[in-house]
Amino acid sequence: MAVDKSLISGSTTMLLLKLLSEKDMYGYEMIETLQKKSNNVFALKAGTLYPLLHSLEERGYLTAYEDIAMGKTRKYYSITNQGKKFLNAKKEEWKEYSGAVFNVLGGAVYGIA
Amino acid sequence: MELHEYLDTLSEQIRCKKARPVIIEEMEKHIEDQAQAYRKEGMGEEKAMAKAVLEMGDPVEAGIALDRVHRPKMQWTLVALVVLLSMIGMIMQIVIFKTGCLSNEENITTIRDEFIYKSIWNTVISFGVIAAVCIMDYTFLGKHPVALWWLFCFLQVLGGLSYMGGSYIRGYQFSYYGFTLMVPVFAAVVFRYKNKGMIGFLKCIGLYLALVLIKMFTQIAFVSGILELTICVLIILTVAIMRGWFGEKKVAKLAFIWVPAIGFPTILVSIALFFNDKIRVFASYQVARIQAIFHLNSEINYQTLTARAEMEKVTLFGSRELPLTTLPAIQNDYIITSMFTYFGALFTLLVLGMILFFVFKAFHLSIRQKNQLGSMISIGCVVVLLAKIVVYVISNVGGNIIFGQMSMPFLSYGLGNAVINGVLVGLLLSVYRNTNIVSENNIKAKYIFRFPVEKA
Repeated sequence: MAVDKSLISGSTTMLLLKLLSEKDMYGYEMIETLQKKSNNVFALKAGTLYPLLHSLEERGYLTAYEDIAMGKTRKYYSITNQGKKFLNAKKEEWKEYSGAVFNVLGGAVYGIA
Repeated sequence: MELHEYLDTLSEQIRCKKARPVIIEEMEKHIEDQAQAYRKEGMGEEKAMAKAVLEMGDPVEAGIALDRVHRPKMQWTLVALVVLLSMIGMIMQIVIFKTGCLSNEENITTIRDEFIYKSIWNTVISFGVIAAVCIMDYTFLGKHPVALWWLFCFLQVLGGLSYMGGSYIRGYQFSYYGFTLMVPVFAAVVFRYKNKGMIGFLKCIGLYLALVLIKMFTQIAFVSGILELTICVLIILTVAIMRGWFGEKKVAKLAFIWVPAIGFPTILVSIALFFNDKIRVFASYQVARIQAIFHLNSEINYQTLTARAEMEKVTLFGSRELPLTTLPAIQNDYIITSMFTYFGALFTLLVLGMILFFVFKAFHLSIRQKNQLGSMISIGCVVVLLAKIVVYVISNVGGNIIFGQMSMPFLSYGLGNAVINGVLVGLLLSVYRNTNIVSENNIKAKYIFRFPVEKA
């Protein structure tokens, strides 16, 4: 299923931080997990993922380290305390936003009915 | 599109060449993972790879986005502070020369002009050194730190020799500035032995002790320099232990360095104070110095008393007078005292506040620096700057300490001071500049030759 791109990119940061708040992951693992958890709704491209990860790292929300998984060295990402705080703020923002959308849509539905 | 085609196109978008290898490696691994997943689904080798590359999306778009993150960056706050402080230092030096610290000399105006000219020139050179070191890739320190350490040890031998050969001041300065630069080198040495466990830890300590021994055999006394370096070494090792660079048993390792570091001087001081009559380890002037620190005799250093007396006269806005006749070489050794008397307490405290702000800002950035080599090197630079500043300021306000003050970073007159501080500040800025560019991994990968690694 394809979803409007802008809708995803706005919330991708939040989704990635949420994934990493559960456990440290490497890039490919994130795409795979996100896809599974969202029933294939979020098919994130690597070309979007890595610039986002690197800029989150630059802003201090993530740290990266190398570790060996299944015989290969991978670059793992780990969420920082600052990142956790940012995630919570984003979640609040999202709740407010989605609540507002829901209200408007709900209102419109009642209007038609 | 083929794998290498994708990677090349992406790579070309990233302007900063040093940043490329790490990014490309991560991307390549991602594509391999994806291709493997497709193969598992039953796809053929080539088809799986082609689909995996296709799945990556547009390499230009991704490359441009990555380029935006991986740019060199400047710490403008620190730059502004350094420029401002150096200018204040230069003005203070010029004030001193204009007022006439060389009043005993003949043809005073020529000499005075020459000193003012040198003062300005030193400041310019200092900025040049900062810029040059900042642009340089600091990771070269991480490549052969141990060889570099031995080179500096050798230079210390030379410094010691010229010291004994009669060129007292030059030998002394040579050694002292060498010591200063050895702090960031030691930080790189510690990085070199990261994850090498107990053996790595002992090697770091061994290299430090080697220097102390060298100094003891090539030069009779060099207490201040060794003490300053020792404190910096202790702090660097403490940070490394706390970060788990040498493995577990952190408390034991901390005890291993701090117990002798505190115990040894304690024993020496006790001997000096209580048993020197019987054992005669120290010369009488050394005993007197140690006694003075503990306020056990009234023979406090004359200069310390003078500095104290000058400080008592300090007013809020200054008296436009310098301690020219009472203190020696004030442009080098008593520039803070001079600032206090000339410009007053308010201005001087403001300047000291700016210096402290610089140090704390730099320390904060060093601790947060994600590149471990960079982090350790800049911690080294900050620590050695702070040690110098603390010693200098205490001595200038009339405090009594065993260290002799050398030069005040940013403020004191002298080419050596300008160059050495330029290197330290340049290194700090270089580490920050390369935050998103170099990675620990390509430092290790670029080793040309490896020192034999013991299997612990």
